Amino acid sequence: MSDTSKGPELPDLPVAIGQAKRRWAPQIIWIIPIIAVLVGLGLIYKAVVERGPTITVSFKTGDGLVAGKTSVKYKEVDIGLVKAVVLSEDHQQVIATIQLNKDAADFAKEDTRYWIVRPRITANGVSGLSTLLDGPFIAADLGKATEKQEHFIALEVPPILTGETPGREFILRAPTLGSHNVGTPVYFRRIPVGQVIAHDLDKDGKNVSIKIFINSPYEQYVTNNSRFWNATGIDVTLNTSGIQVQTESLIAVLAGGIAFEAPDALDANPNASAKTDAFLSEKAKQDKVFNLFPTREVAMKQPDARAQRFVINFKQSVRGLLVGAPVEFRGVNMGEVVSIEVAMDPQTFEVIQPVEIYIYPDRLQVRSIKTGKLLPPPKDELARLRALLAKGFRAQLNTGSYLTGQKFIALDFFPGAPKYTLDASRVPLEIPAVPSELDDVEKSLASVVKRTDKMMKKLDEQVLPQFDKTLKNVNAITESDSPLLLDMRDSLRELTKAAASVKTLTDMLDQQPQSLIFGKPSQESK
Amino acid sequence: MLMARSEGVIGCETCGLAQRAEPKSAHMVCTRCGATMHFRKPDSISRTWALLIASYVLIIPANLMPVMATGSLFGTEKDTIFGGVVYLWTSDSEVLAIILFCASIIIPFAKLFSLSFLLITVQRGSTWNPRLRARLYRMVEAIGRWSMIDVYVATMLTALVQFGNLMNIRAGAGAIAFATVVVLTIFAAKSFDPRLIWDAVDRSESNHSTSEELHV
Repeated sequence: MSDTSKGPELPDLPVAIGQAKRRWAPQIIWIIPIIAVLVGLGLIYKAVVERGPTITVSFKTGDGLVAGKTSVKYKEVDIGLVKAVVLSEDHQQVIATIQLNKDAADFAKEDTRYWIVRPRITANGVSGLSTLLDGPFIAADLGKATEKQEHFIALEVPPILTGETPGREFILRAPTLGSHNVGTPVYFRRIPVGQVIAHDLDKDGKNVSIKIFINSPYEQYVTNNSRFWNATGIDVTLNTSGIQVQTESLIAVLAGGIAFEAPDALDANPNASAKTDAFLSEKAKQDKVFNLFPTREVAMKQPDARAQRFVINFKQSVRGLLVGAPVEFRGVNMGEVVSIEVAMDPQTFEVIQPVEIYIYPDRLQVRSIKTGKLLPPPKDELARLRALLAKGFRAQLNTGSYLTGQKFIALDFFPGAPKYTLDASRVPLEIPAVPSELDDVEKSLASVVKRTDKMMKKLDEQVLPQFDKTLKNVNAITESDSPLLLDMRDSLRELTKAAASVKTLTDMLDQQPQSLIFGKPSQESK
Repeated sequence: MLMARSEGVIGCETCGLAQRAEPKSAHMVCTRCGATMHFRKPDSISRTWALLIASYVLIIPANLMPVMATGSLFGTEKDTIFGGVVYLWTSDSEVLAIILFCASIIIPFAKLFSLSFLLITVQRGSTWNPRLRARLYRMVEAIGRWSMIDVYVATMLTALVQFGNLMNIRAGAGAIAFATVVVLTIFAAKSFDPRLIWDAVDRSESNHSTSEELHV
């Protein structure tokens, strides 16, 4: 409003209206920056205080890891963010720097596990599908340790179980892993109750330890006498009641599985005391080791808590006998063959085949023949063995199948067997062998052959020359110019003549019977 | 130099009517249109400083915190302003990146610095190039609201893009801070009285003349 006209003598301007208005103090405007500063400080405080620890996790590959985008989740809740993804100094790994949230500071602990969640499709299902769209994220599983740690190595495969899953771990020992893998389900009465979480070769390389996890509340069904078996295949049995097919669920058939069950007939084992009974039916402890049997049938066999080792020294071929072949007593399986060897005495050069066997003594029930009552087993088993041996208890190699030539060891009483005294100091104890039935047959057959052979020789040496001589004589007799023949011919001629004379006589007598009395009539009277 | 204030004449800022000031009251309204009138905006410098300081404080979170959180099937992305610029630049939209960079980063900062510069020079009674400073102020005032584009985009997207899990956009804390900065700078520019630039010039000129008079 500048006015070029000079002086206060301005034309009649209206006078502005003065107003006494209550005005805020001018300092009130400073509230705004104060609020701004407070807000700013609040944000800084939040950023500083709510900032959790920074950790680094190394991965094999950085596939899908994006700095500032990839989040770290626990129970599907973000607990941190990947701040940087760099290669390690040796270029072998990818190191992700992760900023954890303040409330997730606990995750910077020694045994916390980290892994990348990617879509996975297995026989048991599909997981991590959401990451198809979202991109992978890093999952964490809170550890229990108290030691803090800043650098972690990510797992290659997601762990089956996260720390808080209730349940119990057990260890199965098997000769081979079979078709089991991490994630293979474990069934109890065909209900999936757990899974394989790890497998490892034993240090000696002889067995495989399979770690399984049974989810709560099913872990209570794993008792000390539980049997685990491979529920992988289809078990077809043919017996008098028809064909029986036993399988676990179809998935188990396809993807493999492990089943377990406790044998319910505890009373079938009277030898077990009440104390062991209680122990067997007790819930199994964490990390208890079980054997993994190949089939249910094998698994559910009577538990052979005790196995006694014996040796049988065969002096015959053990061809057809295999390790694992049954040891039977009158057709009842009592044990199995453990090893088959051949040994030679350095002095006598006698060669024997020591066959070691296991006998499960508990399979021999002790019961009174009269009352049929089960009795406690004898205390002194050595004495029992001695008594049995005295009665002719012997081992014999028998053929199980003539088709395949497989053999087994039969135990039986052979009252006629040669006497044997048990040497109790020998380990393992020896059960004397008797020759097998087939052996006897072979022997007698051999002797028959030998005798026949002898006879033939005799025939050849003594009888035949004489026979030859006789034949020669006969030959000489029957030759055409032999005197005997000539004589015979003459005699025959005479005989014919005699016969003709007789005929003439009979004819004449027929016509003139009176001639016998009156003599021969003259020619004219005829 | 004749000045309205020194003559007790005040012009209505709304209707332009010149009128004589009521000397007793500090608060005057136009006789014609009733608008509030001041010789100079009251507490202009301290008010502007207050708003400016608040803007300085808030521009930090505005640039550091995410402006938009874009949630889609492919996860949630949180973008800061500078992140958006970088994204546009790297995805070969250099022009857009420059526009965004200018509108959202350069202009707010330029405004803050310009206003600070004006305030400092006014407080120091500087006589340096008043014309340029007056032009700077006009530019600041004119350009100020353009920074609101960012805020508008964010709010519009937040309101429109709500398709549940498929796609949704949420305004981040940075957007609020940024909007506050823009609004505060607009108010700061408004509360600054450009006449103060010339007051200093006038004062120095009058000083000069009086000293000359004294000398002569």
